[in-house]
Amino acid sequence: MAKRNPPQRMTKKKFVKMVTSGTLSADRAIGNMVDELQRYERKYGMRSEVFYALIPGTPAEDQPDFLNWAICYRSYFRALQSKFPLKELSRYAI
Amino acid sequence: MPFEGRQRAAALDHCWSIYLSLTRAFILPEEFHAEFPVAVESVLISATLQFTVPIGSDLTLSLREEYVFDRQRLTVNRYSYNVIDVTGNNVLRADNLPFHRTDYRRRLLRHPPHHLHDERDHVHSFSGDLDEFIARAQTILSSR
Repeated sequence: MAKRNPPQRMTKKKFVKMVTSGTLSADRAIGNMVDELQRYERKYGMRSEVFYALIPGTPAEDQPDFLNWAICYRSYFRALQSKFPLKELSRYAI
Repeated sequence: MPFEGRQRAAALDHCWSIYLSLTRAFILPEEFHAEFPVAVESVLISATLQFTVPIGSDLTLSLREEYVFDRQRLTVNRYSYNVIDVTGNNVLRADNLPFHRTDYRRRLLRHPPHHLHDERDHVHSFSGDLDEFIARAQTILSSR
């Protein structure tokens, strides 16, 4: 039987080119995070805002889902901030 | 963007080192080589790397790292490394949450807050180095 060849590892040059090609839009990245947050919300019957106020910073966070949920929640806010920089939002300030 | 200029370059270098470590340790599906750069693009948007990849017929590696810049140095603020079996059980997981000071035998952790949880959820010392986690995952994979 022929031996299966492992897939070719990409070069760093190709890696950088692919990463900087702009395949992933901020909207899609945010959408993916919203989907994940909603999966956790359905699974645990809790809004992310409530989860984040109650769990992170306590020993209960040391569960894979809770740790990933907390990271995802912070990432979501960072992605939103990158889409709507503070300067642009400041025009809506009262 | 959370990262600019040199910070972006440092983030790309860090993610490239993760890619090298994984591809040296495991034979990964071809799709991973196309999906990993997209996961890294997300780092430039959200400062978090997150992906899941099969590392054997019945094991999956899930990695999540959250980055911050301390002056000009990229730091992993929080991470979660998981090896999961087909039934969804965590066979091995590591993180840097600061809630453990001792291992399951009540000995001080050597590199707190970094620690590992084994299949029985026993806490063990861990350096925080992804390569150490990958080596442990390889041991589990070869023992199956």
